[in-house]
Amino acid sequence: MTGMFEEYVRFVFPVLGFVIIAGCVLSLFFKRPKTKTVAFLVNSKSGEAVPLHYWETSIGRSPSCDIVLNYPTVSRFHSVVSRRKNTWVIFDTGSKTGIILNGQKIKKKEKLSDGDKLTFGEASYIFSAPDFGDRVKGEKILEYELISTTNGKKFRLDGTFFTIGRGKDCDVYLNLPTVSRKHVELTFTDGKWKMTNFSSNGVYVNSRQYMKEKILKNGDILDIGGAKIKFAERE
Amino acid sequence: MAVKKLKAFRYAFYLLLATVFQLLSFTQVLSKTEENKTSLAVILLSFVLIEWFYVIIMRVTIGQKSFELEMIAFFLSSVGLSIIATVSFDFAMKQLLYILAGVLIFIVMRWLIANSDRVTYLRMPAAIFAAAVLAFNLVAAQDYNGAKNWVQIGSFSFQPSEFVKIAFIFVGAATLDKLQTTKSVFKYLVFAAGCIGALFLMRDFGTALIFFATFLIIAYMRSGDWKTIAVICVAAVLGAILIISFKSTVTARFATYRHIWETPYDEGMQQTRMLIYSASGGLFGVGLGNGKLRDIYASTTDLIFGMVCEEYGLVLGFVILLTFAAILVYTIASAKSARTTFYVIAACSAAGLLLVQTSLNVFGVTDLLPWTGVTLPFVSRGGSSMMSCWALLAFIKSVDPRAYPKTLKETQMTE
Amino acid sequence: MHNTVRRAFLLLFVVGAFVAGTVILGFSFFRNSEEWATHRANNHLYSGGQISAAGTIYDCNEKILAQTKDGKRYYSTDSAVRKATLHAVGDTEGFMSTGVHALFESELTGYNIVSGTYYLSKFGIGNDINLTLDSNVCKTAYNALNGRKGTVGVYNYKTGEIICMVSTPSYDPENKPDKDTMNSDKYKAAYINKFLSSSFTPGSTFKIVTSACAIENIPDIYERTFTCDGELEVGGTKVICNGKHGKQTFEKALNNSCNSAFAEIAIELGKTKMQKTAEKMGLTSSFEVDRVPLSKGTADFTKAVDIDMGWAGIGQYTVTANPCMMMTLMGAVANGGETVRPYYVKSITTPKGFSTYKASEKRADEINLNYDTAEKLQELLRSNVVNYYGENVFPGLEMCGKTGTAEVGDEKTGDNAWFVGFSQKENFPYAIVVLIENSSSSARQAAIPVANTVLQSIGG
Repeated sequence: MTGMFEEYVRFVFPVLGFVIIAGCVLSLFFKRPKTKTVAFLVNSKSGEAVPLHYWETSIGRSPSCDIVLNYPTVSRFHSVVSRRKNTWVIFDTGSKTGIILNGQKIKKKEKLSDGDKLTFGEASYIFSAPDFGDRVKGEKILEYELISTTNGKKFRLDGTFFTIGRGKDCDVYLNLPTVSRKHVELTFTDGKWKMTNFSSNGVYVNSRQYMKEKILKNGDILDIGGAKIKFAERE
Repeated sequence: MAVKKLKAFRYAFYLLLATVFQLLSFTQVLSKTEENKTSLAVILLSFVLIEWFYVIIMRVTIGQKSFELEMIAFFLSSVGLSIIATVSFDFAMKQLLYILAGVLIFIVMRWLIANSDRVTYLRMPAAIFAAAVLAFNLVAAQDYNGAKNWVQIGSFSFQPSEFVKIAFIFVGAATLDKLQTTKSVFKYLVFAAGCIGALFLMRDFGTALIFFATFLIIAYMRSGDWKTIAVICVAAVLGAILIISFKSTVTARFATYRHIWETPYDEGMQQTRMLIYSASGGLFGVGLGNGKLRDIYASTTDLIFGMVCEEYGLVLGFVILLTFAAILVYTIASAKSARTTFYVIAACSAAGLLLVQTSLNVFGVTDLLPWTGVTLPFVSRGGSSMMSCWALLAFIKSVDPRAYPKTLKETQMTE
Repeated sequence: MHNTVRRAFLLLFVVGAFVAGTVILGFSFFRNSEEWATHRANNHLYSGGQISAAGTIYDCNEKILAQTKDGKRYYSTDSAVRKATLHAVGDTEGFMSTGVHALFESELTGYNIVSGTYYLSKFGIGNDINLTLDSNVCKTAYNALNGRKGTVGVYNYKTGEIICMVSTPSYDPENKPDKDTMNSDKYKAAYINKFLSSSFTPGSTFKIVTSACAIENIPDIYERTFTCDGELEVGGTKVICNGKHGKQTFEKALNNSCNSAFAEIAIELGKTKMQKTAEKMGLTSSFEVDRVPLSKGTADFTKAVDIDMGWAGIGQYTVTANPCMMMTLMGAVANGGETVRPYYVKSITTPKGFSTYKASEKRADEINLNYDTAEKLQELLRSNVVNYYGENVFPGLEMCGKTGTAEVGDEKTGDNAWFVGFSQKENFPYAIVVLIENSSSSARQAAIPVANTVLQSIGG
């Protein structure tokens, strides 16, 4: 009996071992965490929002920095914006001109809150991380979301660029025959959300047909091939 | 929906498969033992319990969903444990305790490095700890096979250099703000040179080589400075050549390299047996407990890869080899989702260290590289090695941000 | 951050190097595992350095030549058979590199990289090997050599099966003499299978080659006459003949094995033609007989002057020949120029009765003999027996053949006595080579009786 067991089980070991290891490795690769935007730096002049993808972001004139500020007054390695467990922190990494936070020059590191004004040399930004801070200081940065009027599902616009359409690669995927493969593009520029139509049927915003572009306002109802979606400020 | 729910329980599926593998192995092991059968059964079952407890506790307390790395480590540990259990009951009991200690260190390390600020504060103490341990080792070590890398306190003996590995990475890795303020790797170079020098004095060339490779990985990832690293490499190679050519004791150690078949009954004994019996195993092995390599000195430590090949078969042996490569590839591919550069550097250097150690072990005993006598991570018998491997796994695990318990704010953000 | 992440990708080189190492390791296992697993230190297969578990080796009549019982290796129950088949079967200690034990080690032990030694160490059996050898004939040959050093080989020139292959000195593997005795002169070269792995001065048997060369290059060779007065003077030195044969034809000269005549013929043919014929007849070539490459003979006449060619024509000078090749050449002559390569491993069978190897008839392209020359050589060699040795020395065998007494040393050591030949009987297609070293008597007296005894024992 033990002989029989031994004779067959020896074939089971490599197979099972291979399945376990291969399964775990594949699972490791396919279930890798995705990077997502964790905060924004909004340019005070242009309103352009630079998304921060990492918990640590280097800022400086050097091309190897995550955010490159090509101004003579900015040091090569000027600053690091870094998220800690429950806060955001900004470091001055030996810059020449320093960092001015809400009008005060910081020493080495300082806590950051949503809406803080930052100046690196001649470049000024507003730090936007809606979940950190109580939104009293500085300008208010609004975050928007898309809400389906039929089932109430929400889609948070936490980046600067989104697509809507029937194509599977779209950020918002609408499986309706009347929807084009890539129907609409939403872009965040100059502090505003702009809708660009790519379909032949156009997009109805508040029952008016648009074939090209439209700046969206809070509460706008978009009709995309029959699917009604509300564009609204996040609560 | 049902499929999606099932997918969420994928880890449970692999946990079950691994348990099946382990129970089959243990059955085979028990069928080959005569003495202490019941006690051995208890030991082996305890291993399965540790594994299940770990998964359940992590699932419940911090809501962890991905257990792949731990499953791989548990799997490798169980392969080693099964083989060791066929050799000696004592070894099996100790190995189980080492695995348990390893898992506990793993959990502690995960907690320890979860906070970047804490990590930053602890780097200096870790460096001092490493220096102290190595200095103590040099003073207190016993000569063991020509190397002085073992320290005995009471009846408990351990290899201090294994624990220094952890500190070595801990000290080397750094958060981005630190990297950006201190561009030079000079301080770390001094620290590394001290560690490697101490290992040379202990004549533990294998570990010295591992440290050197890890140093190169860390130094490059920190600075990206090609030229400095090239200079260091050249200096190190020249130094090694000098030492090897002037120290006859060192030369003698590597004399059999590529000549093992000329002295199959003397110096080449262990390595030739390792090849002979690995080949005897064939693709599927001769069965647990049926091997002959067990009678050779260091069969469950340095030569354990041979025992895996002989008793479990070459297929599993090579699967294990490629596992270590896959872990490093995964670490590289996941680096971009890591929270801080500390995790990126720590994970990559830990995975790199394990791969270098695996190479030195496996290619060393098979005579493709000079044999330096290091262990096969997770599989070889030995407490220090097992614990350091699990600790290093904590670094690798840290590359995935989902490994940490969610903060309150994060929970709000994603729900 | 992205900078550090990008640097991480450089570590893929480490992975690449590791994977390359793994591939090299896998490849070296694939290529060398057989050699490694069958190493004498492998306790799965050997105990005390001897093969302990392997399949059975049978002769052509299913008689056991070697087998494993209770983890020990046993040979034939007959001590004479053990000695007679020792070089074919081989020892288990690894002294004999050309025996079946060494050459078919992995087949016998049943090792392959897929199943390893599992089944073997579990069931203690490997593959069985059937040889074409007839242990009775081998035993007869061994006894006929009667303690003299030498070799006897017989093969079926139609199928290639070697039925007799004996090399002496031999020893009893179950009762091996001690180390000192093995090192003594009596057991000199005992580990070598002379039939396959040695070459000797062919002496007068080389006159067959000279004859073939003459037949092909001297159109009126049969019309010529040769006068022998006991020696042939060439440029001041002499080739000595074994007698004074007077005036004789080509055929008679071969019957008499007349040195004067053949030296004269060889000088006339010249070194180029002689060398070409020797090469064409395979004497300087080699082929494998069951994984053993035959020892190559030599026939290098590039620096030979006339007197040297005289000696070469009678198989002296620097000429050497391998016994197996000489036997195969006889087979080629007997077969009208068609050469069948000899072999002695008939089949390999797994424990479950599945045949993994079956010998097949193969040509030996190393010997190129045209039909006409072969026919003429047959007549000449037949004439040797009928007109010179006498039919009565090979009763009922219709033998053709040629003796040779090769001078190898001084008078004390004696000469090498050869006989090569074949039977023309339709149902008895055997070619034979007999070589007795340091024989005190002539080839006719020493080698022919051995050849006859061996051939008579076939089928008996």
